[in-house]
Amino acid sequence: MSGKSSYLEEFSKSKAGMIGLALLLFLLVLSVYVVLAYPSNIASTWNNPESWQGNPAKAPPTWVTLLGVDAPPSLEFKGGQWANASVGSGNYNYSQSYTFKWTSKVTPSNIVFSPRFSGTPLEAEMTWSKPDGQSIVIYIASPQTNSNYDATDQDISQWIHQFVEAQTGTLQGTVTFGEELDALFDADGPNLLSNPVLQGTYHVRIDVLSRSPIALSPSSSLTVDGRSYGIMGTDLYGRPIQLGILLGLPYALELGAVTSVAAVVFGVVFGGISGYIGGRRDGFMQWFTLVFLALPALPFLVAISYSFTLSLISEALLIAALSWPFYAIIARSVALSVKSQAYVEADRAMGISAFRTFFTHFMPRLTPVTIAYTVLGIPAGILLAQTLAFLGIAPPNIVTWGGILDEAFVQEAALFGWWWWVFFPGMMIVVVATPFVLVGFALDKIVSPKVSAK
Amino acid sequence: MTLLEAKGLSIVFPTSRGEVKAVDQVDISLGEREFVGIAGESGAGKSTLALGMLRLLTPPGKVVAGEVLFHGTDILKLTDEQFRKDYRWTKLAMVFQGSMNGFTPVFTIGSQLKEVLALHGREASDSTISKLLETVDLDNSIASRYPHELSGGQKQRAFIAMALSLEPEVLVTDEPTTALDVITQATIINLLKRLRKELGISVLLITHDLALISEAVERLYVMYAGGVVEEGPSIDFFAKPKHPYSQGLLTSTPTLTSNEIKGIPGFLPDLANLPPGCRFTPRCPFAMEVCKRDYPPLKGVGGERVACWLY
Amino acid sequence: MTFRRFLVVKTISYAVALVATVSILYVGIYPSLQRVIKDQATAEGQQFQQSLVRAHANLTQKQIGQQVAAFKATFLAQFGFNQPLPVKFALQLQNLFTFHFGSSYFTLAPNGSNQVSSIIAAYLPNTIVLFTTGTILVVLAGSIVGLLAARSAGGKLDRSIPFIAVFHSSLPTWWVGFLFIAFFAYTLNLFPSGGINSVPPPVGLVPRFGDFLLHLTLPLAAFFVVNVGGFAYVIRSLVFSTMGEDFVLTAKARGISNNRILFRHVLRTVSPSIATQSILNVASSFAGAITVEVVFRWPGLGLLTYDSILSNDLPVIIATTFILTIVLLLGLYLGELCYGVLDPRIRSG
Repeated sequence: MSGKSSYLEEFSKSKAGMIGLALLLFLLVLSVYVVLAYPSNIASTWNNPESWQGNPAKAPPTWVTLLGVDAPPSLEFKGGQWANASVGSGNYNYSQSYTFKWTSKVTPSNIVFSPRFSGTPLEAEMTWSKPDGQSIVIYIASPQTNSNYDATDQDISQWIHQFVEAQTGTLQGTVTFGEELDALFDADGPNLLSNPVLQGTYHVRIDVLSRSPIALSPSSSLTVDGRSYGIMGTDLYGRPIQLGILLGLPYALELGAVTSVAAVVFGVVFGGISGYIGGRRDGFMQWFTLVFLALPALPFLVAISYSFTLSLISEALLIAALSWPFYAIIARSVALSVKSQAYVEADRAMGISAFRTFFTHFMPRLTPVTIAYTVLGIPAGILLAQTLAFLGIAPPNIVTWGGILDEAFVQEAALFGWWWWVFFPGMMIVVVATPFVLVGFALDKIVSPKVSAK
Repeated sequence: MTLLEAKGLSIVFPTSRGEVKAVDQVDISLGEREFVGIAGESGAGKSTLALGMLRLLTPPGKVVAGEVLFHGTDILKLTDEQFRKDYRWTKLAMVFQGSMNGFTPVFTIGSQLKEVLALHGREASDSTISKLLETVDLDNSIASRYPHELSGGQKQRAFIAMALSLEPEVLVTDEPTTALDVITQATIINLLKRLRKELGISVLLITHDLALISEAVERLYVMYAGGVVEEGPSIDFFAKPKHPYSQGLLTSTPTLTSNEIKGIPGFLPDLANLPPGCRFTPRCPFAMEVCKRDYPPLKGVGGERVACWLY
Repeated sequence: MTFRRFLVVKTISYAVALVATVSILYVGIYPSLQRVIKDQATAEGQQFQQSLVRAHANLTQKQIGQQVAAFKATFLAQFGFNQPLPVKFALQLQNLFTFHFGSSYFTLAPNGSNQVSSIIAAYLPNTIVLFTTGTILVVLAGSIVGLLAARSAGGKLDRSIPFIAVFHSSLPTWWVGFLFIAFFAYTLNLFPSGGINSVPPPVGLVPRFGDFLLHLTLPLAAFFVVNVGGFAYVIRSLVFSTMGEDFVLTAKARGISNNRILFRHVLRTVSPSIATQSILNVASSFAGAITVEVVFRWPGLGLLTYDSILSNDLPVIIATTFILTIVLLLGLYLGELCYGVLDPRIRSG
C-alpha cells in the first residue's frame, strides 16, 4: 500500500482532478468574497421587489447585443448636484439636467425617476425633450422621497397620455404601457405610436418646486431601463440573475460540505464496523442501513419542514441523516474485502485485539475511500438542497438557485423565452457540482483497488 | 517427434519503470505423448511462458520475439478467430493455476461442460458428461452442482475433465495442485499420469514443487528470471542437478529422506533492469568474474543441457 | 441458504424495516400530524353540528355544544388523543397503514372526492409508470453501455463514460426537464410541454395511447439522460473487475468467443451486483423522478406534493410522504428479490 505522499503525487498527475481543484479554489474564493462584500440582510433586499424597480425586468444579458440582438443596456443618471434658485415670494426651485444619446432602434423598457430629499416639495417637473425638438412635460404633485416614479405610475403616465392624445387623437384611457414608451421615444406626428424610434440626443430637465428650502440629495436618480442587463440578465422583478447566483454560492457550498462530511463520516464508520464485525450484528446493522435507505429524502424533508423550521445546519444534518446509507453500503463492501486479506487473519492469530486491528488495518484502508466519497458526496448534497429549494423548502432568508428556478418555473420563463432566467442558475448547480465530481473521481481512481494491476 | 515447440520466445510487460522481460528467448519443446515439467520459483516466468504459448496473455503483456510451432505451424501468426476455432481446447487445453476459480460461478458444472462441447460441435449429452466426470473419478451428481458447492479438489478434477472433453493433443497444467492438501495433490498428479497413458496426450506441467513431479515427468526444464538454465531427462536431473540454482531449488524442497531444508538466499533480480551476465550471479555460491560479464549459453553436460559457466 | 429461506428472511426483514422506517417518519411529522388531526376533528365537528341543528330543531345551544364536544372527543380518541403516547403512536400508525389519511384542505381527486386516499390512488399509478419505465430503461441501457465500454477498455466509449458520469452527478433532473421543455416543446414544438394527455384527449384507444406516449417522452428522457451515465459507469467498473477474474481467462482458453464470454459468462456473473446497484439507483434517483413530475406537470405524487406545498395542504403532504416511503421500500424489496433469483449461492441450496 502506497503512502500519503504518493497519493498526492498520483493525484497531481490527474488532469481532470487538477482542473477540478483549481475550479474549486476559485469557487471558494468567490464565496468568501460574497460573504464579506454583501450585508447579511441582503436576502430580504433580494426578496423585496421594490428594491429592484430601477432595473429592467425580464432583460437578457447585455452580451446578446454582440450576437446582433438590439437590446440596449440601462442608463442611470445619479450623483449630480442640484442647481438652486430662489424664485421670489418664498418659492424655491431646484433643478438638474440630464443628456443622453439613444442609438437603439427599440424603446427602453421603462423610465424611473427616484427623488431623494428631506423636506416637503410642492411639485417635481420633468421636461422630456426629444431629438426632434418636441417636449413632454410631466408634473408630479407632492413627490415623496424614497419613491420610484416610473411610466406605470399615474403621476407620470397621465401627462404622457395627454401628449399622445394631442398628437394622434388616441383617447387617453386606451394608451398602453408600451405605447407610453413609444410616446417618449418615437418620432412625433399623427402616427406617433407606430413611428420608428428617434435616434439622437435626448434632454431631460427636472425642476423641483418648494415653498420652503429643502435638501435634495445627489443620490436622486433618473434611470432609463434598457432591454438587457449585466452578464446574466434579470428576472421578472428586475433582479439581476448574476447577483442571485453570487448570493446562492456560499449557501450551496456550506450546505454541501456539512452534509457530505457528516454523512460520509458516519456512513463509512458504520459500514466499516458492520463489515468488520460480521455475523448477526452485521446483519442487524445492514438492516438498520436499509431502514434509512428506504426513507425517501425529498418527501421526508418536505414533510419535516412543516414540523420544524429549517436552519442551514439542521437542513444539512437532516440531508446527511438520509444519505449516509449509500456510504455505509460502499464502506461495508470495502471492509469485507480488507477483512479477507491475510494480515487481518494474521493479527487475529497473533492475539491482537479486534479494536486495534480496526484502527491499524481498517481505517487506513477506509480513510482514502472516505475522502473520495466525501468529495463525491458534496454535489449530491448540493443537488438535493437545491431540489428542495425548488420545491419551496429552504431555510428562511437565504437566496438559493433552486428558489430562483422555482420562480422561473412558476412564471413560465421557458414558455416566454426568458432562457437566461432558467439557464444560469441551473448551470451554476452544475458548475459548482462538477469540480467536486472531477476531484472525487480522480481520488476514487487512485484509492480504489486497481483492476489491471495483477 | 516434436508436437509443440517454442523457439526464441520473448515476452515483455511494459511498465512505468521500463519493460519487464518476463520471458527472455526461451526454447522449449514437447514431444508426442511426452510428460514434461517446467520448474522454478514463482516469478521465474513459467506461467507467462505457458500463457504466451497458448495466446492467453493479458495486455499489456505481449510476445516480442520468437515463434510457437504446433505440428510445425506457427500458431502466433494465425488470426484470433482461426486460432480460437481450430486450436483452442480442441488441440491445446490448459488447466490453470486458478482453476479453482476457472468455472464461471453462476453456471452449473454440467452446463459449462456442455457449453464447451456444443461450441465445438461435439455431442453434449448427459451421458457424455457423466463419462467425462467418470474419467476423473467424479460422481455424476457433480454435473448439477454449482462451482461454489464443490471442494477444491473436486473443482480441479472437474476442470481437468473439462480440459479433456475435446480430446486435446496437448494439456498444459499450471500449478494444478497449489491450494490443495497434500493427499489431493498426489491424487491429481497420479490422475494426470494415468490420463496421459490412457488417452495418449502430451502433458506440460508447470510447478514450483520439484518433489511433486519427480516421479511423474520424463523431462524437465528449470527456469530462472525468464530464462531456461537447465534442461534434461528427469532421471539425470534428480540424480545430480548441474546448475547451482537447480541444486538450490532441489535442496529447498523437503524430501522424505532429509529433514534439512536449505533455502536460496537473496531474491529474483529486477526483471525490468537485468544485469548483463548470468542472472543468478548475485545469489550464486560459485559466482565468478565471467558470470557478471557474459550470459552463459546452454551447453551439453552429460545427458543434459546447462547454462552455467561452471561447465 | 435455500431460496425459500432467503425469501422468508428478506420478507420479514423488509416488513420490520417498513415499520421502523414509518416510525422514523412518524417522529419527523409528529407535530404536523397532530395539528392535522385536530383540524380534521374541528371540521368534522362543524359538519356534525350543522346536521344536528338541521335534524333536531328542538335542541338547546348547550345540548348541541355537549354533543359536538362528545363527537370531537370520539373522533380524537380514534387517533389516541387522551391516551398514553405508545397507544397513541400505535393507533396513529394503524391509521396510516390502513390509509386513513382524512380529507384534504384544497386538493380534489378527479372523481371529486376530497378523501386523501382517493387523491393518492389517482396520482400514484402515474408516478409508478414514469419511475418504473425510467428505471428499467436506465438499467438496460446502462448495462449495455457499461459492458460495451468494458469490452473495448481504453476505447472512445470507455473514456467518455466517466465524463458522462460526471454530468450525471451534477445535473438536477428537473432542470434538465426545464431545458427540454424550452427546447423540444417551445422551440421545436416536437413534444407537449407537460401533462399526461392532450386536453381534450383524442378519441380511440390507439390515438389515446400514442398521445400518452408523446407526453411521457420528455419526462422520461430527462430522467434517463441524467441517470444513465452514472449507472453505466458503475456497471463498467463492475464488469472491469470481473474481467480480471480467472474464469474469464479460462473461458477464453476454452475457445469461447469474446462476445459470448462478455454477454453470457461475465454478464450473468455480475447480474446479482447489477441488481444491487439497481437498488441503490432506485433509491438515489427517486428525488429526481418526483421533481421531474413537477416541471412536466405529470400528475404523479411528486406534482401532488409540489401543489400541496403551494397550498399548504398538510394532510396530502403527510400522505404522499408515507406512500412514497412504501413505494421506495417496495422497489428496494423487488431489487433484493431479483438479486436472490440471480445469485446461485442463494437460489440453490
